[in-house]
Amino acid sequence: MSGADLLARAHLPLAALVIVAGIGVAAASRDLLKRLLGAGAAMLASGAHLAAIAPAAEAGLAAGLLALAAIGLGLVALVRIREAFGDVDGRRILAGLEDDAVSADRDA
Amino acid sequence: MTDPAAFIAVHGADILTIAPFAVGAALTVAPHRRLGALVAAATGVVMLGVAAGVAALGGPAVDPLSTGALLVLAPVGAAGFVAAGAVLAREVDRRTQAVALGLGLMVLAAAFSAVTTDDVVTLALSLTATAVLGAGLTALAAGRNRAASAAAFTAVLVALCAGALGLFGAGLIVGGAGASDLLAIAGAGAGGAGVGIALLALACAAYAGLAPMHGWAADVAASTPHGTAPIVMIVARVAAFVGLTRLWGLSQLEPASALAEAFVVGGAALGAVGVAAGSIQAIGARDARRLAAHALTAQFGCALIGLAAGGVDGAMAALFVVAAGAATALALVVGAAAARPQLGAAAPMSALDGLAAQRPFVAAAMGVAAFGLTGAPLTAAFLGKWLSVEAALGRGWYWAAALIVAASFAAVFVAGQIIERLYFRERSAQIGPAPAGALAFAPALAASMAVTLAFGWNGAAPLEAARLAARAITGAP
Repeated sequence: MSGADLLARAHLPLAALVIVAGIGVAAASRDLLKRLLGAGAAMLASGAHLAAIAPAAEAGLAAGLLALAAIGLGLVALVRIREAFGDVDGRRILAGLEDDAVSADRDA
Repeated sequence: MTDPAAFIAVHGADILTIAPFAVGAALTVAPHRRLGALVAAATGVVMLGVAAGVAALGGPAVDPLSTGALLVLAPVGAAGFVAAGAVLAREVDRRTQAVALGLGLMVLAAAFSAVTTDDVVTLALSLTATAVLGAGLTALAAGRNRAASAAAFTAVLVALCAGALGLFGAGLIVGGAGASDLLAIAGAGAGGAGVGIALLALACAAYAGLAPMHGWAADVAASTPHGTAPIVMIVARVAAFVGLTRLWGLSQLEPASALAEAFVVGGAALGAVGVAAGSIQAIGARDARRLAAHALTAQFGCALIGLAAGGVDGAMAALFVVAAGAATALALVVGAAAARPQLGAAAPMSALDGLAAQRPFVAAAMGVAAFGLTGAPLTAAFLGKWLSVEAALGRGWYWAAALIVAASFAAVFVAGQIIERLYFRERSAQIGPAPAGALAFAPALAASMAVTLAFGWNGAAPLEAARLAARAITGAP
């Protein structure tokens, strides 16, 4: 069996594995960077899977570009989160947002 | 039929997707400080005209479900962009204002694409694009509202995770059925294609912010710029729900299949959770836009129960509820923009205090929307909830009917809170007078009020449109 055949057979389970692992990391991790990278890997894997299936190669490319744009946007948001909240610990950010909501209402 | 009319009838869906996307991309890449608001508002209004033309002319461009969806999304988009010009200038700097409007136009284009396409890959890509672009829009508010950066980040995560599920599902459908066209894959619900349809539906549910996947939608609604909030929190979510409805119709073409049963059970469960969670969280919301987002979640839950109940009547109820919910949410979101404090990006509930004295028209529109939330008689929501209860009872789901009625009672608390703040409290000096620019909000508020009251009085026309769409997606004669 050639490498191309092997890849053709393996891309579906490989993509499924990466997607499950990526979404799992995105859901379970407290580190926002890990969450972003996990979700990004999952989306890129699904884009690659789509690209491997004819006739949707353009769709795979579009999915990849969307994923890269989203990851870039997420990284920018992370920088702003670090500036505003001090670190990238998800639990602290939730606490910070709660404080914001309370203070906004109290100020008003 | 004149040539332009024939052109719109044939290419209407393409125009609705390409034109706002191109204008939005141009505004984003080359933001013009002065022209941005004018160009965005004009594009929104022109797209409303095209959508109305597509609906009136019929033709091969769109099916009845797409037509109905366009007639909901296009007015919300047009009214939203008209209002945006008056709000965005105070929220973001001038250069960023044009970028925000450009991103908003691209969200609108992607939403139009999602509701008019009959291709599963395009559906998945379009909805992912709405989420990514919506996250970008929210991130623009981060300079003045630190919660916006966290909300944008969460939206990015949802876009990536739901995008992964949706695109993988689309890939499974293409691989299993050998086609990506919805008509071509009808009846191919078994095996990999069936799993693909289920995954894509799950992605649609996440993008629509259906409970329990609705937290991100409320965060985004509360922190995205006021000027583009109707686009991000109504247009994008309704487009995703329409996509879910289309997939639901696909699953029901073989009523006895495992896929059809999974959609019924899953839809009923998600609907019940949505009605309960949305209603309860709306009562406790401390931000007006967060309240609107939770109320829309509850409406979506009600619609899902109608869909899951099955048949043309259930689908008709669902579509009517979603349209009425969009009209209600529009008034609440635009009203929150009109009532927002002079300083600050949030719209705390206390910003509604005493609004009736300063902006009686805004307060009246929000009051009508509040009554709409409760499903009060003479509002469109009443008819929608009535149809949903009928659909649930028709299926023998007494629990679902009881849940919808209980949610209406819960909404009375929400509506009472809004009315009490609007009419029986005084606006505090700390919040300051309601900001200027009320005229720009008039189209959105007037449209919402007119739809809520007129279709509550006589819902024959929208009911017929919903019936046609329901027949189209269920394959009923």
